Amino acid sequence: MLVGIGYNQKGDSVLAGRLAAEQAVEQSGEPAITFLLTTENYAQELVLQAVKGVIGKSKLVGLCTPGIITRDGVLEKGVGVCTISDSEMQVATCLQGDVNLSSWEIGEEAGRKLRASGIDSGTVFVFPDGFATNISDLIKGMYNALGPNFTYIGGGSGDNLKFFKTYQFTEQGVSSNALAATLVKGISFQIGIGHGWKPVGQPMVITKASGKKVYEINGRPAFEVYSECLGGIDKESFPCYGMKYPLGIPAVGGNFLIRDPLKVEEDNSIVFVTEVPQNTVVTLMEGTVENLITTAREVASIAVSGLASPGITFIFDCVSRYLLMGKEFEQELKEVMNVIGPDVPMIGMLSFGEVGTFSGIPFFHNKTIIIAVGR
Amino acid sequence: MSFDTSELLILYDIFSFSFPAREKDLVREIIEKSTRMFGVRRLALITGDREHRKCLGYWGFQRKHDVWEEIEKEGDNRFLYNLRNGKLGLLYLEQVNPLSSRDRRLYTIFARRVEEVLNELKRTEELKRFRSLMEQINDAIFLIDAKNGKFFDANQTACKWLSCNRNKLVKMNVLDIQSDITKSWKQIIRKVRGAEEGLIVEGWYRRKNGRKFPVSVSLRLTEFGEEECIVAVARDITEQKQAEKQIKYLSFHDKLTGLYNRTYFEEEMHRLEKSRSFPVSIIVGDLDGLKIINDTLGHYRGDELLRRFARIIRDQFRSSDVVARIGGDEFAIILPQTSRQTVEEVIFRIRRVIEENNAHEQLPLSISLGTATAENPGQSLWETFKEADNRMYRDKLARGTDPLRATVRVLKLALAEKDYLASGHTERLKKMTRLMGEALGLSSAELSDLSLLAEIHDIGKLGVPDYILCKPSALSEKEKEEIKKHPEIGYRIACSIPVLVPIAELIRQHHEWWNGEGYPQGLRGEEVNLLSRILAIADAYDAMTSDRPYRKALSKEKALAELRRCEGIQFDPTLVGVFEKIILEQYE
Repeated sequence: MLVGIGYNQKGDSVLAGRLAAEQAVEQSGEPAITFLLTTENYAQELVLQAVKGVIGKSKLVGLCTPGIITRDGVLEKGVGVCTISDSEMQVATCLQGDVNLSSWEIGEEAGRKLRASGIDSGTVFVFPDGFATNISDLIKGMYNALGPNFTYIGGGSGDNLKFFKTYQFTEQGVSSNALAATLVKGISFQIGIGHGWKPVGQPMVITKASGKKVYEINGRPAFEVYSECLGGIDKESFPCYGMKYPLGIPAVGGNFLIRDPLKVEEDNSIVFVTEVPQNTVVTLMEGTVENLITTAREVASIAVSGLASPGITFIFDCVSRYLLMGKEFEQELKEVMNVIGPDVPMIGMLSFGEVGTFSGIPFFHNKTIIIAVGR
Repeated sequence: MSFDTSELLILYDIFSFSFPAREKDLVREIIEKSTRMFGVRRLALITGDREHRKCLGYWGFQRKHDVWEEIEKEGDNRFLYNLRNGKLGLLYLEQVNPLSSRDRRLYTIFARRVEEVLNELKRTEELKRFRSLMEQINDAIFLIDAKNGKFFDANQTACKWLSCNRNKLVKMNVLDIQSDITKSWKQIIRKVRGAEEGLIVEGWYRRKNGRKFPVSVSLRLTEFGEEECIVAVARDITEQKQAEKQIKYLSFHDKLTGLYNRTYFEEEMHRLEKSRSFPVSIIVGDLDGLKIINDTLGHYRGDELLRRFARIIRDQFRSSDVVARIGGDEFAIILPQTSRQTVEEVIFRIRRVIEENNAHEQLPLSISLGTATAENPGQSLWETFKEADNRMYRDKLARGTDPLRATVRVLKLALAEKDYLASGHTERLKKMTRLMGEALGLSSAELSDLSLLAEIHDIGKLGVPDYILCKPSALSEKEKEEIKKHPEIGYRIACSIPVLVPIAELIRQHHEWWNGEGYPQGLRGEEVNLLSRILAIADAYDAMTSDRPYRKALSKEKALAELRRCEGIQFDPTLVGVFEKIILEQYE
């Protein structure tokens, strides 16, 4: 397996795409699969065409992200390309539109399309529109069609928190409000996942919710309860608190799925970045930058643990962590890089929600870091 | 958080299971919770007992038929739970690693919760189906507290009857309903308690808008929890009652005239015989000539005559009198508390009214009437009826010539109604035939028959369609054939009227020819009755000398020449000679 990584920050969409791709292909040779990360300032179609002009017949999957993670830091503007060549590798891609229509069924449809390739096991890279209505259902639908023999990693695409429009692509083209996915067999991934958030206070029940909006907690208006948990906050200070105090949904193995509060509505309901199921127990979560960084280091350790010669590292780190940590995010990256080592090719993205597994089952996470190391 | 706290959170989550309204939502919630809390990698929810298994939902199996194969397999990472001992269904959960005792414990708690929720869902579905069934019924169904008459529940029809919604209804009491049934509610409850098979009562119910209608209520005692309840199913029986009324009306009334029928008449005879309504008078009436009207003008005209007579007599009697049509043309009236003298006055009045009515009607109404009175209680009304009937016959006999006169009048009117001949034809024929008869020395009886023949020889044309008789142009062959049927039809009509029987054969022969080429029988020469031969000549002559829609009248000379031309062919040559002589003598 040969891996190539290329970055470019030229302002011209075609040039940035072509140069980044050329840099990657130079290292990997003609790729079997190409991962393309862009930021929202480019003409996405032009970038895609430029990259395709370089990678030949390679399958491609990618998305627009709030930031591209490199060894040197986060590129808020730029193009990142990762090419992997391996004659034994099997790859299939799928670009499934209209993910908001009926998430579960659309996920199943995407799963069926990937399964049609005949690949019976491997890793599924999932890149949905981060604003999609119900990404958890989308993933569950995919799993239902593909079955349990696959590993899932990925992240939601975003547009630098403008909440306007995101892009997903495969070699078939560029799309919005879509799911770009690829199924790769031939690379064995070891995955670390974690967030560093800890439960505080009493457990609560989401008694009324629909999609991303939570109306009631413990039978009372959601914000009233949330505010009480924090000793009484007002709506103006909510964005600040929301960033620091997400909710956690208990999950297998003592884990918690994090749900990131986004805004308070007039009726005291709270809108989250990701859907929150009704009749679910939640706890308030808190975290320190130190904890988050420590967890990132642990996640990296798990990902590389026991691997003699890793070939590639993928990092999906939540944009919310990046915003919360500010300059200290560099420290998180530094810690991760120290664990992974200087010689392993690496590409990563700031994600709008992360796709990763607990006990082999894929979930959609918030405020989480996922590191996949393959060989 | 310690491990134990994590388990508590899972237990808390399990018991936060919702009670979804749809099976699909339940499956989605099972998938969400079991995958998140336990890391379940495949699952299936199957409902129904062993014989009726149905896969309600699955996850991670790719295809449905894989579910049935996989759940049969054994493995230390698989958990199969029989919901309600398998009667409700199965829950299959599968994880990556072998199940620990903690996993089994939590899976069992989870499965029991699913069991409860599914059971509740099934029960709710069943309830919905039952409720929907109840709501589809047009009967009003009430569940009532037997102790105090308060409503527990009711269906939509019941709410509609009471003009309120269910919430309001459950605050009401059975005594709030305006009905004769609820007025005696206590007695009804007592009866229901004693009636193992339930009780059915009929009564009325008045709605808030004042509409009152008959109801049939089926009541049964039952237990609802610890409460003793009455299930009352009330049905609007307006239509049933109307149908019963209609059946009753039809069973006691004559459909044609609307008068009482023979059944009712007989029942009233029996009832009044035992009553104190004496003196009771009975009138028996018989409509003269109905058969002739039916045979000649058709049953429609006959029925019209019956209805006319019914209208006349109905107006002449009190509501306490029983006016009935007891046979085809027979009527009878029972007049309770009516003396002999009064009934005679009634008879007189009826005759006068009929006479007045005949004055402005085309068909004359002729009635024979008889009356009798039972003066004292215990006297047989049937004997009285018989006496009245005898008197009616005596009346018929007493007005002996009247029936004949009436018959002739009816036939003449009928012929006039057909209007196929110019007026005066009959009178001219009668004169010509009489002169011929006298010239030939016929007896007075023969002359009388000849006169009657002249008058009604074409009676059979009543059976020929008007459009043929009145056609202004030449007739087609088929139409001619129709016309040729009239002597035969006339024969049949005459046979049905006693006074016309003697001339029936003459009517049939009046279109036979001397040479045998006439119709309907093809008789020849003197096989044809003399009177018919006389009539044939006079009839032809008058026809030729009268205007017709399609030609002008011929002169006397031309007509006689035509008769002569046809003598020995169509007409008796001897009679033509006699006729010519008479015509020349009479009209010179």
